[in-house]
Amino acid sequence: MNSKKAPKTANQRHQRELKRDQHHAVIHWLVTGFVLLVLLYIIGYTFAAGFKNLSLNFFISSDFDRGIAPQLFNTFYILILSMIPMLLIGISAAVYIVEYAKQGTMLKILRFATETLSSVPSIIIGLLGFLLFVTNFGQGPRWEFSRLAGALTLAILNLPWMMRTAEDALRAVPASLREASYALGATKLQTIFRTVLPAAIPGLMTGALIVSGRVIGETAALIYTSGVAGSSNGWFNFNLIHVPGDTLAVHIYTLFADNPTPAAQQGQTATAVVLIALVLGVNLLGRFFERRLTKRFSGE
Amino acid sequence: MATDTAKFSIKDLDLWYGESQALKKITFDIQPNTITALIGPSGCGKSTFLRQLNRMNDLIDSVKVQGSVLYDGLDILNDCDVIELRQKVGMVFQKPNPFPMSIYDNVAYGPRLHGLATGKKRHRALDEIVERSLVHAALFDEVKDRMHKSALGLSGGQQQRLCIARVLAVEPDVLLMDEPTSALDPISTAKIESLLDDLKKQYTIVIVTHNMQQAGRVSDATGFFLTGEMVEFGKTDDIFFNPKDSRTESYISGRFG
Repeated sequence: MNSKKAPKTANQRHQRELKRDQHHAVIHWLVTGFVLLVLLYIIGYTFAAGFKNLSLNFFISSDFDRGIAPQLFNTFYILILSMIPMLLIGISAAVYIVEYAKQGTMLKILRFATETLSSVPSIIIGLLGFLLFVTNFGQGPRWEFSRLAGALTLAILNLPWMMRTAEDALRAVPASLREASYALGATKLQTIFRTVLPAAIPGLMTGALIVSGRVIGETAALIYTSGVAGSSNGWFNFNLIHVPGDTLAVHIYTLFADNPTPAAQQGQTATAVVLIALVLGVNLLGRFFERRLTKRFSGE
Repeated sequence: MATDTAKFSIKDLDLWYGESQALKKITFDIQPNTITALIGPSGCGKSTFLRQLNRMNDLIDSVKVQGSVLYDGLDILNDCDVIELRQKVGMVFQKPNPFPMSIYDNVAYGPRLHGLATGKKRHRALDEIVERSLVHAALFDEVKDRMHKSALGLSGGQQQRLCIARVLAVEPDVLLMDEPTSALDPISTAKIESLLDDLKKQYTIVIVTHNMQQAGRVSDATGFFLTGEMVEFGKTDDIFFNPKDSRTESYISGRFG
């Protein structure tokens, strides 16, 4: 009873609010700390298990469970192939949404569509990619399991994310800059290309890098499109539509699913280390550009 | 004030944001090579009016306009190329808004848009336009050694003069200024005010200001706006020392606003 009683003076009330403030700070700190701990655990566990299995040979060998040279190559090849259409379509769509679309039904439909697309499981998008690119719905000339098929599937999968980050980057450009451009007699198109997009480049870079992290780590969408083949022969070629190729992430899956020998397990943990380091590096680079962006508008 | 010599001749100008009317039957003339100050309390419509002179209000979907605004006899509300109009009628904003580019590129932005530097020596020509504009805006000496550094490294007052130079570079005829010194310190403000006096030899200037002393110091004519209406317009001295309307007198003497 006593402890629940309302404090009498303003000072007591003030003290109570201060206490409450401190308690909340501790709770939030603990929750944040927990999230950080999970991340650190994943990174720490992976490195502890896999780092000792890394060697120079591991990076240059194309042997199925002894090296990841083909997978490294495929990962970057597919990354570049998927980023090109994604950037073009994603940025164009964001320009439409930010600069042209009026608040209304069209924008609502677009938002609903992108949000739905972004929550479709990646394995489903993978099946779509299989139908669309690999089998071509059984009509006409068909591709094989191929890196372009995988890249385009990843482009579909990540397009909503690219659009969202590009939209954020364009919205971060102050309206006063657009006004300045219009007031000098620029057309809308000139304003977009000469003011908005150049000013948004650091933000667009950040978005592209964050999406790159997702592309590098994606697995399910690739199994039915670029395939699981650990191609040991002739992997170093740029053939788009007839040569399959597994990425680092798919490689981890294949090593586990096909052949869980001790050697494969070692390769698996080492691959995981490389993959995590890559994703981490890409995200850190993204943060770096984000800082550049803030500096740009505060005048450094 | 004969209409045929006026730079702008505004007649019965009404403007609505959606359902709410922001300007009511504005009628007056703006004479060439003068500085016209528009004063009035916040939300009285003076900025909205200013933005109608170069049709910046077009950017807001809900705006509806009625009446006529003649610029050199040309009806700018109906048959006019808004791109051409904005090149002739430049605008400086309340907050300095340089592009996140170099000082040079900021000033060259307009000339590049409109292809003002042409021919074989167009790089030289562009250099000259940039330099002339910066000199004209009384900024050149301060920035001549850092033309290719970011404009965002300049002080607020320098940034605002850069914005003036950027407008001058497209060879306008009229300068619209929307509280151009309200974000600046007194020294920067004084610099811009003395610049205005210089600029009016070549340009017609319309300035919106909250600062009554500023209106008194720099302008030749003053218009007093209140809740969307032009209460009184006349020579600045008359408005300040001999206002005809009691509301003008109350505002000038600081009884509201």
